Amino acid sequence: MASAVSGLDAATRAGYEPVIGLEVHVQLNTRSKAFCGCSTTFGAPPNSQTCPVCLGLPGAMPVLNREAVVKAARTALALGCQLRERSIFARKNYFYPDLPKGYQISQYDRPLAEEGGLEIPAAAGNPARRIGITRIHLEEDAGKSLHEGFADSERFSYVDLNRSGVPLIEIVSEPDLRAPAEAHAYLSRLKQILLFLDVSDCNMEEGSLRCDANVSVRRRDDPKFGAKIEIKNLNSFRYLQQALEYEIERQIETLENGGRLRQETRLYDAASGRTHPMRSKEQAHDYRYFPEPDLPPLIVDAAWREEVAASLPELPAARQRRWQSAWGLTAYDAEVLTGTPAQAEYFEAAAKASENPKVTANWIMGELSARLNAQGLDWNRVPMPPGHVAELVRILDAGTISGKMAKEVFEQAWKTGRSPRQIVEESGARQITDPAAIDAILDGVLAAHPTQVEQYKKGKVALLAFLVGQVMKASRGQANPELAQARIKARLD
Amino acid sequence: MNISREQIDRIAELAHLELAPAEAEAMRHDLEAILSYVAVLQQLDTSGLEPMSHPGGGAPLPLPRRDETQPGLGAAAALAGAPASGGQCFKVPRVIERLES
Repeated sequence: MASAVSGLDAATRAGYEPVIGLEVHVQLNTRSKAFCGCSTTFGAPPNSQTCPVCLGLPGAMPVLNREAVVKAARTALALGCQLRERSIFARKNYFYPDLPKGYQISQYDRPLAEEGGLEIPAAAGNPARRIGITRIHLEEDAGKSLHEGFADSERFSYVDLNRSGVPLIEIVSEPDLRAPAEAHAYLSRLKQILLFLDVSDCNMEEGSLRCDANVSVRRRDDPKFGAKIEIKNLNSFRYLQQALEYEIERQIETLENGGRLRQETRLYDAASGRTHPMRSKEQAHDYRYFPEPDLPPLIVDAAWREEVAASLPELPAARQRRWQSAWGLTAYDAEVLTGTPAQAEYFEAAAKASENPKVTANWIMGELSARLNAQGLDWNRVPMPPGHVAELVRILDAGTISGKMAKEVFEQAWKTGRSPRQIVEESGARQITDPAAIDAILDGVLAAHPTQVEQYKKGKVALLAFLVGQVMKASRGQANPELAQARIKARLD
Repeated sequence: MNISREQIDRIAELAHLELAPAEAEAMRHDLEAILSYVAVLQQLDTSGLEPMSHPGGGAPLPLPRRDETQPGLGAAAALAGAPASGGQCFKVPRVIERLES
């Protein structure tokens, strides 16, 4: 935790401004790898999804996957980037056992896309703000080194190259973020967009979304940025925020104590909640980028760009605006319901069928969400079809059943999978809306409670609720409560 | 074109090569000769010319290769040429202690 650094007082901390930029690596969800036809399925036996290209065997030639370029371009356009008419691949040279060719195919000075941005929501008194995106480029993933878990792990590392050659995009933000919470908001918003675009499963535990942060601090009156520290290993939202909080405190404290900061790379250690410098030898990289001679430059023309642009789905921000303006949802509800594409689709389908989006939203965010959470289900696997939620809302709107009965019907529908209409019809659990029927019930209630009736007549109006309750009880919850109240008043007032 | 011994040592380090003093000197000599030749080429005025990163021009989109999987070598064949393997993985001398303690 950030508290690992001793207490800076609030005034001292407030004298500094953190400056944060994020580099996000996203594994694209193509079926096959970037430069060969090997499968990208996660969790296969080690090295079972490899071929001469992704093993880096001599003479093997890369052939770029069409879909990887499309997914990268979809992301770029959704984030408002300019697609370069001509982008080129480059070799990034370094030695590591999980990089069999001795270089990673990436892009350097001519990336696929540049100059975009992403809006983060208003928070903590700050208005919604656009965070600049410097560039998006296409590259390949490296294999995976296993340093633990073998009997001789003290002396050996093990390498699985199934991940070698899986297509990645790297999304680099401008240093526009000013707080750990903003970095968190940026990453969540980015993840949400990537999910709606269906370009990645964004599973951080499996490494399909990875984040490095650049962070520095400067005195509020200083126009210059401080020494930039890169933090690696931020493989969850929580770690991102914790590492930034720790690192900002550490930097301020170093400066306050008269120390100096130098540009370096640090690793986040989740166990201690601290960042540690990488050994200097690991930082002595000079990647010696040069153009990749085995791949031609990518040529983007207007027709292809238009085709990709036309294929973009309605993004979460646009859906939220539409639901608020056309359907009257609150900003909060719209935000929650666009949590994942599946949830948004579910709500959209149910709301259209019910023709009452606001009440539908309440049922989905309340009763349905609670049951999904309790059973550990996600929105891709909702056992109750959206049509059933819509049906329940319609029955409720028609006054056929009361709100209380609706909860019971919902529970039955959830448990049995049967439709709400069927449940209501078969149980006869219809709301009683016929005044004559209510009067018949009321006769019994009034006869059974002469004392209360007398007191009510003498002016103790609070007993009205008691009498309504007795009608509800006598009708096993089926009486329309408003009607019951009206009939009591008509008979006794 | 002068190349210093320090530059040779740095290039060798980046290339993970261990050079004996005589080899380093020979390498320095060769690199000087190569770069002197390139220096002659660089006298040509290329302003206004697009650098050629690839001889084939460029690849218009969409690319021809569809996103379809093909069987690979299989782990046994993939590992067949490895000096050491275990647990169906390539086995290499332990790489690093990532964190400084």
